[in-house]
Amino acid sequence: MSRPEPQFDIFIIGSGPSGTHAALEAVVSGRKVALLDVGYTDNRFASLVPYRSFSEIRKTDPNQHVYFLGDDPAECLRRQSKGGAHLTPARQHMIRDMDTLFPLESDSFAPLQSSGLGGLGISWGANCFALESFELERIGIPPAEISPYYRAAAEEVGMSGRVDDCLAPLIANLDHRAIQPPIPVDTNAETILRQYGKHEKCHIERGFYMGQSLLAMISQPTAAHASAGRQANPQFDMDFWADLGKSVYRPRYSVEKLKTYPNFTHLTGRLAMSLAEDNGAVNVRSREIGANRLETFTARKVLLAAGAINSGKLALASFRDPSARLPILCNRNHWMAGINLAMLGRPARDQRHSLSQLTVLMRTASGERDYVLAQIYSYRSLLWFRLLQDIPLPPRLGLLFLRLIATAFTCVNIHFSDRPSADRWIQLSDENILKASCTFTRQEEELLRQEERRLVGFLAGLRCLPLGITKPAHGASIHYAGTLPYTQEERPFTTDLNGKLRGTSHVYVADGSTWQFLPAKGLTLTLMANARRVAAEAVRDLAR
Amino acid sequence: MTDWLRVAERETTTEHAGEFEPIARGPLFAMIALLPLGALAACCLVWRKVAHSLASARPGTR
Repeated sequence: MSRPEPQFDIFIIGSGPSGTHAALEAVVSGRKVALLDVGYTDNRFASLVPYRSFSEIRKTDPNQHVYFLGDDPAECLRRQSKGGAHLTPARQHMIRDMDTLFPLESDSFAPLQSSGLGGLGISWGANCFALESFELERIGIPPAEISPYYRAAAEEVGMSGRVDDCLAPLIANLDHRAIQPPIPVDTNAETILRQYGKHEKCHIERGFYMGQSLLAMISQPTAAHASAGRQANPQFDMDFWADLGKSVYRPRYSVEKLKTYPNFTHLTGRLAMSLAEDNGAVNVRSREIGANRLETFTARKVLLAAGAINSGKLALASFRDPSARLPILCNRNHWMAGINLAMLGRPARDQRHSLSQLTVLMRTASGERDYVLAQIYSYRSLLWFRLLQDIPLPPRLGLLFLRLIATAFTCVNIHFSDRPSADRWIQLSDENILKASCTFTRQEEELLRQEERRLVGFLAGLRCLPLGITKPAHGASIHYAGTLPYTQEERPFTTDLNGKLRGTSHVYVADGSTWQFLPAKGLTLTLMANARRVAAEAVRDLAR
Repeated sequence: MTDWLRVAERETTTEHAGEFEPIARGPLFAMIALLPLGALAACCLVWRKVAHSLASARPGTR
């Protein structure tokens, strides 16, 4: 008796940046594509936000507390202490039920795992980087193959920024025609950039590159963007609270687009549990969350895109090896609060976007070629009360202090690259609970301190004086990779350079799990481009 | 309710919007106003550290 045909040709697990872009690439081939995710959504708060500027809303909207603080302010703030201030009420569904859906035991690693439609892309800061060839090679991605996928990903997300500053040569692997004109930086960033420009050549010689951030934010919508209801950023400074005009890219826009294809199926409300190959097909075991019912889907090819931690967990659960430890990479990130002296006491324009204004790439002083990344924000629309806790003054005086430095207050998000280490791993216990440990050697800590001191010194030279540096728990950067790395060696829990998981014939890994190196530069655009590359390979494999 | 949660609720009302507006009356004004605040903040920080080390030095608190 012949076996029934598999239900799908390409089956993708995860609706984050990798999963959605892999699906976009696969669906145009005409093959039957399915995308499985938990897919929580929450439109309650975003739909309440008026199409007005932050300063106008503050003065006029009596309902603002609902979307600024959520239904339960204490709970909302507790979640923000886990995920950062940018995890505003409209974005908190990203981590709903995280501890029950993705239990993880660790005292040294506190990652965020997403259960929302769009994955960790729900709260993406929209910073885009096309990596340089040496970085792609270090990751394991062939530089010669990635360029067309970078362009396709960039056109889908809608990117804006400068292509004529000192950062432009660092994004040479991306066709600059895919980049829309920049949205102006705010008054604070303008003064910092002006100060940098006075001695730009000298700064570059010392290894400091500064320019306007390249963002997944539309400035001139193309016909495709307009037909999807996406508009230019209105510069209302409300980008942390709502996706007004769908200007800043979110992966759920791509899911909406995918749903228009007749050969696409969205299997939402489901958590993937394990995979098993069976006679030329893959069985995907999953749990329907609402009904708490186990299901099995069959597909010719499966693409893991559940994020590095969860894809690693799926591989561990599928091969059932409780002794296996997988490496885990995560950018360490620190926040520096500072005052830009050039703006002290001076007024600032209300018209601005809220996301990263400037990007600094600092070439590291020692070891192999690498960078430290700093993204410069002007803290304006995230409300002052959060900062009051960190100021050693009574609330009234603390507030006065903040009002006096408001237009000069500058936040710098500093990211460091990461490499595999025996001290950083995840492991699946017999009880199906993920355990993790991430520790750093004294030498690693010292190198990081030295690089940070250089960066802070550079910013001080631009009259941006540090007030303090906070070091969130390891995992707060929300950048994870490296659990199922690319390698030429035949080893379990690794992938070949096309993303095929070793020990399988039909399972591909389309997310950051395959990266052998995690650069300091934001990974998201490269995740999307590489997911497309892997999906294209899986489609070609179907035809063989 | 914690102090700063009370501040949060105040900060998200239209009536008190003015209390949270930036004060931008020139660099000289800002510097003169920030000087005593900065000095006070430094004193508070030192006091917090001293109080913390005194508390942790007390027997039975480790």
